[in-house]
Amino acid sequence: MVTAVPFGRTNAQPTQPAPLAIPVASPHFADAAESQDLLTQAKAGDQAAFAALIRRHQNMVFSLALHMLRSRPAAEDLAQEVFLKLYRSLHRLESETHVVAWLRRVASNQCINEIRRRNHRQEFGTDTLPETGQAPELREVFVAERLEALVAGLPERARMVVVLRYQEEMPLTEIADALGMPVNTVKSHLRRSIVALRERLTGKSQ
Amino acid sequence: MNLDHDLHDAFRRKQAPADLADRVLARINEAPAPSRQVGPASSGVRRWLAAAAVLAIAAGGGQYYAHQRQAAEAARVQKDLRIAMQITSETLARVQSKLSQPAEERRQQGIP
Repeated sequence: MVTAVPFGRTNAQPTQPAPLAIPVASPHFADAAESQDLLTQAKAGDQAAFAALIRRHQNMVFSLALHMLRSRPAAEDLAQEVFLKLYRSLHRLESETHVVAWLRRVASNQCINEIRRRNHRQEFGTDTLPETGQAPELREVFVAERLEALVAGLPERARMVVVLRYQEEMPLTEIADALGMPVNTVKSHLRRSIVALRERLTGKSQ
Repeated sequence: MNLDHDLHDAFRRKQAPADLADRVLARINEAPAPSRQVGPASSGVRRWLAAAAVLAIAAGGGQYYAHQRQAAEAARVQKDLRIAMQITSETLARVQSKLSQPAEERRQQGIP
């Protein structure tokens, strides 16, 4: 019996009512204002500001690429390409939120295209993932590595859904927007992937 | 085993190379001028200019074609007129020659 995975989980689940915050004093507000300044300066041609913008988002873009491609050099190349595209598209971006959504969408599509181009995908679906042949204790030690390997065996779009969900903790609607697919398709990809991963990790394949 | 938790652990963000931004800037500076410098306004103007050029060429071509057709028609009419005048001239010459024949010869030939 497989336990259902909760969908639509939010990042923060406060148990206490949040105290009233004064926006001007909020670090988040200051951060957002700083980001907006960086974007404005970068759009005006300030390369130092653009470099700061890259440093702000480079871990996100690089990690998406690394988790999808499983190769550091390939992930570095892809991240560079994404930021070059960002440079050429700066005039179309209005806010920091817009930049983040744009980077996620472009990085995701680049990853999917790169996997298709290189034909690195091993064609085993969620019901044909490799069997676990390791002892339980060893499996626990290497569970993260094993999970990455199992996810790497998923079809590229399903893999991207899992990475966006667990790396970026994105809501399903945002994943759907980023990948240009219906929310129900995202749910379906995620549900089937989780079921298959759980079966393989616990050795309960059907 | 908590798969949800394990997946969050496995897919945690990783550290990007420290010089990534520098490498991107180096590529920007070695590349030709970015397309953003063209700007949407000037690209719009370019599109309008291209459209105007196409229209001007089409209009000029049309006018040239009409002129050529007119010239060909004039040449044809001129040629027809020349032929008509030639025929008229030959007929008049024949009549003239017959009128200038002596009356006796005309009688012998049965011409009144």
